[in-house]
Amino acid sequence: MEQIILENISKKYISRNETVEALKDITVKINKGEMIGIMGPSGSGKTTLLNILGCLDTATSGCYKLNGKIINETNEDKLAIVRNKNIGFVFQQFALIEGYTVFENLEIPLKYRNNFVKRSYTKGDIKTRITSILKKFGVEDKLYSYPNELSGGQKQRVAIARAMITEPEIIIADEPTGALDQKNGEEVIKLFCDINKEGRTVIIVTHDEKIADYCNRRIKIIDGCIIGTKIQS
Amino acid sequence: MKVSRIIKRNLHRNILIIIQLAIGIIILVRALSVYNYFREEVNSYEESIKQNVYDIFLIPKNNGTLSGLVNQGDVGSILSTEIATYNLVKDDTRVKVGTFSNYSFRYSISDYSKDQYLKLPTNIENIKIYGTDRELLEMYDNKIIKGQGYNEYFENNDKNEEVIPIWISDKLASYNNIGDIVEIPEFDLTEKKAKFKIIGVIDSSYPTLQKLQNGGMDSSEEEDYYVIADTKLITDRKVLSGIYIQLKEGIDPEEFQQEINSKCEETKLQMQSLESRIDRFYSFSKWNVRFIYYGIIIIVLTSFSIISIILNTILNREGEIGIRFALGARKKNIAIELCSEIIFLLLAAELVSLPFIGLIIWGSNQVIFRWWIFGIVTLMNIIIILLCIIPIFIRIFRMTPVKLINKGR
Repeated sequence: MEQIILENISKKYISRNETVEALKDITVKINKGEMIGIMGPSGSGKTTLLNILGCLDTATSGCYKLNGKIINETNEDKLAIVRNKNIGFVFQQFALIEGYTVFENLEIPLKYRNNFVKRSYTKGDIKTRITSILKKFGVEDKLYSYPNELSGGQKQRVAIARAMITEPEIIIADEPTGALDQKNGEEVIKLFCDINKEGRTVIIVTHDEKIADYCNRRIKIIDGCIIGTKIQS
Repeated sequence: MKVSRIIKRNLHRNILIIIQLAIGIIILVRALSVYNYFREEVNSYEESIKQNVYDIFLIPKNNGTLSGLVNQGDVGSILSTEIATYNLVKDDTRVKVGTFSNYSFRYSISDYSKDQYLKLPTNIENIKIYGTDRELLEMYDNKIIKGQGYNEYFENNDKNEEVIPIWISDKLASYNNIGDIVEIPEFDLTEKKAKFKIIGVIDSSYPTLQKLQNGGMDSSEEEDYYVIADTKLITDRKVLSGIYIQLKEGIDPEEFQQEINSKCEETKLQMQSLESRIDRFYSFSKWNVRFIYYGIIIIVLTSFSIISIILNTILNREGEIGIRFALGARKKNIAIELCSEIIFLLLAAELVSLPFIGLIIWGSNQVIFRWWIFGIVTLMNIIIILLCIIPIFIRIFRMTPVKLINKGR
């Protein structure tokens, strides 16, 4: 089942009176439950593609359908709802909010959900959910720790837990192992595999061939164009 | 963004901002309260002015003292001076009416040999006006041991009623009852008849000697006295003080003054029209307006500080805001969160300023505080801050999640 359809997507930026075409007429289809690796050199447009896939940005032209719904004509508020409901983000530098405990970091998406749908989560629900997901990712003892008290691996586990806290159907990870050593990197990628096994779609941007090997499919992008797709066993 | 956490993050800076904002609020509230004092006083003056009304008083002719008449701090002597002044003019056919006004103090029965004075008689003419020095009356009000205090009484009674309220000492209370309509001996100074109503009993042990010294009041420790507060002036207002006369139409005040002075050996009569007093109030009031400007300037400057904080908050936390966008925040969520920080600072400043405002009200005579003043200052703060943060909101609403997230990645 095609969960994500990008058809003839282009993205242009205007920088100092100069138009930069970050994505050129890209067409990608991603099925539900796939694990996709997006690869390419710096400046190739993979982050722009990720932003569009993650509803953080909209395409200049083309059509983006998520679960059959056209996304690129949606307003910013609705995109925020889509991000909160359907997409979990994991970033290279973990993107945990300093000064907030692990619990508070995980609480944020749930609180935003409560803004969209009143009382989606009660205080009790939030605590139970956070505790259980931290347990799942092996950092349950870090509930009230601050990010600066965590190791890199722990930070990324917490970041993944935060991405998963609203049970999104899509996880988008931008260089998730870029700031980790090999051992932690492998552990993190195994976590993504586990998440994928749960039936969630995982899209990972990476330079690392080893990480890309874990994916069902690789999409290679250069100069804003997809130059190849490789399906792996 | 939890406000408490943000405040904690920039604790010292936020404390300074709160102090700065509180100072602005205090200065502005004080300035407005003083301004309001003059406004209310001047209004009451203006309302009360009748033609040809003069405040009169005696001063020594040769820079000496009024021997036997004036002795500062001795209320009895001041009263004697007033009576002397009053006696100078009371039978003058050019004076339409004259009155005492606005000395709020206890007055003792002076003739101790006459026990009957302890029982206040009825039907005596006087217009003795004992007024409403707020501080002193409050002092008395604090020690009403039976009956009603000044404020309580006037809350429930028309100031224009025929009887004049008085309080009596506890010694007099054994001879007179609360509610009695009485006359006051020794005050048969005018042609105006007045009835006095005993509305309360005052604790004789108060004010203490120290308070009396601080207040410059009579420090003798009488046990048999009464206090008269507020009554009907010719101007029918409580705010005037001293002795007032109203000259008949067509009488030239300068000629009147010269003629009176020619009769006096040691003293001379000074006359001041109520209009000139109002002018003095106005000029003082204008001077006070400066403080309003200072208050506004401080609040505006503080608002700039707040803007810089918020801008700094945004600049420092663009990445964080980006992460929040990724996690599902809408722009309005971010705007509300930032606003709550400003509101918190403002509320904290107002809370901090409240006790100081209380001190100002308690410690100043020429201040009339009203809650609307606080409301105006708060509103002014909110408006200034809102005006200042509009550019911030424009900035937030122009930011794209992608740009911000790139900073948070």
